[in-house]
Amino acid sequence: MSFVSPLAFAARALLSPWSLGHRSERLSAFAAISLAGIFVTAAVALSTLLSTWTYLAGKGLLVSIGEMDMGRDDLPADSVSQVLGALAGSAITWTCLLAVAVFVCVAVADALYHHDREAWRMAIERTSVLTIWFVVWALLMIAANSVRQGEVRHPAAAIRAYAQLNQRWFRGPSAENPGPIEREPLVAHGRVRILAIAFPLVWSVAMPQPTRGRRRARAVIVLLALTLSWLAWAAAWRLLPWVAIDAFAG
Amino acid sequence: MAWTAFLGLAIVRPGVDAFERRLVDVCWNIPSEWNAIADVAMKSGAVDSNIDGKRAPWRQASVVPVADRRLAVVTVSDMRRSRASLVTDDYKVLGRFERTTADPALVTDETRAYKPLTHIWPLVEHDGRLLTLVAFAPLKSEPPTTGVFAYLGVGARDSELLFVCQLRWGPGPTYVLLDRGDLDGGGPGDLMLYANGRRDAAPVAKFQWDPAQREYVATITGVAKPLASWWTTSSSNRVTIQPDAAIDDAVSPIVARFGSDAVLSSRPESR
Repeated sequence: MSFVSPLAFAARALLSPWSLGHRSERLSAFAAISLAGIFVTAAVALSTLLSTWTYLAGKGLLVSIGEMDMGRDDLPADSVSQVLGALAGSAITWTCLLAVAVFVCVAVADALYHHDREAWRMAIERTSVLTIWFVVWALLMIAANSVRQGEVRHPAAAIRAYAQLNQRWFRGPSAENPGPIEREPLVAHGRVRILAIAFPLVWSVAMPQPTRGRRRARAVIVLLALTLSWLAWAAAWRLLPWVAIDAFAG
Repeated sequence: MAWTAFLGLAIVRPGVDAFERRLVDVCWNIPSEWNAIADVAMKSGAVDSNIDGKRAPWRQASVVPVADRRLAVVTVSDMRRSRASLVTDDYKVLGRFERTTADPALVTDETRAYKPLTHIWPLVEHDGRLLTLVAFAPLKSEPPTTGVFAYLGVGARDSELLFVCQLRWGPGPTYVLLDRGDLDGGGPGDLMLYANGRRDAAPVAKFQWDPAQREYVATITGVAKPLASWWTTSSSNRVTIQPDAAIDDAVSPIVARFGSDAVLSSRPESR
């Protein structure tokens, strides 16, 4: 066992997560918690950025407080406190969702390494550092939105288009002559669905071999981790209040 | 053991929907989040999310005050047919009606405060029904001065058509503004027409509710005659509309009988 630099560990988690599964390098608990805190905070900030509330707050900041609404549609204006409170609520909601993602990993690690606390600690350390993929996911969602909205060069315009489509369920600037009805796929549950499917793929290949007891083939560990992760996500999915989450996350 | 319990919870989902409804309560206070009310109303089954047997692709909700409480007006639509449900904050449906319109501007309503599909004026509760004025042409940030309007009593079992009018502009231009007055008289309220929108002047036409005959009695000056055609319900000829029937189908034959410039008091066959 050897302790390595947190940055080197994070870089390896990002560039070759599968290589973590072969090594017995360790992180200190402080480094693991710090890295997870930094990455989750960054992912929450980026996820909140692609939020209806960001657009509303930005509009209020740039135009006027009276414009903190969706513009030319049929809604009265939200108050300043409502928009700012909802922006904070969006960040809290994303924090909770990413906490669920981490909790799923911890629960699956606990099932995989129930009688092997050493391997379990390694799995938790790797989970912590693999939260760097939350940042990748959040960035990809912003990029995907820009591509989807045809505003690659204007990310702010893409966020505005997201907010309008999320609110109205039709495209176009005018409710008088609305475009086709369309639901915004990158609302909270759409983004989390992608995370729930993709993150276990990355996470499971980084899981360590058991240090004691029956040795399993690496492929078996990966498959078990993947299957249990998706099962846990499917169960958690049914228990989460998605209407409220979509509303609060914006 | 913990996994079994977790999966069991996921299957049963105890209290999840109630918890979600509780969370969404806060959305009643935030205009940008009113649509979440529509989502919960549909998810809970209080509002039918299907139009013509298919899941409606569009929904919207707005919250309006009614006396000392507030109601959500939940609309589901495929932009050809729309269903409006008037829902209390405990998701009890007090009334609903359907509209057929190919004009999205009537459904989506760009301008604030006016909801031509469901309520131009604030809703009023009377005699177990919610009274609402609906339009058959989009309003663009304007009060009702032109087009066809119907005054409805919306109930849980059916809606009753109380009054229909068609307003038009004359040369000059001259026009009349439809407004509601005297809601304390025990009836559904009197309706007034004001020349050129001047509410500070005497109305040029007055439609007063006669509770004995259950009809509106008209007092019309010469100014209003070429600018408005109207129809009223009566005790002998009530028009009720089932919740799954479009009110447009009840109003169209009435409007078809309006002359181009004559004031009529006509009544269609009962439905």
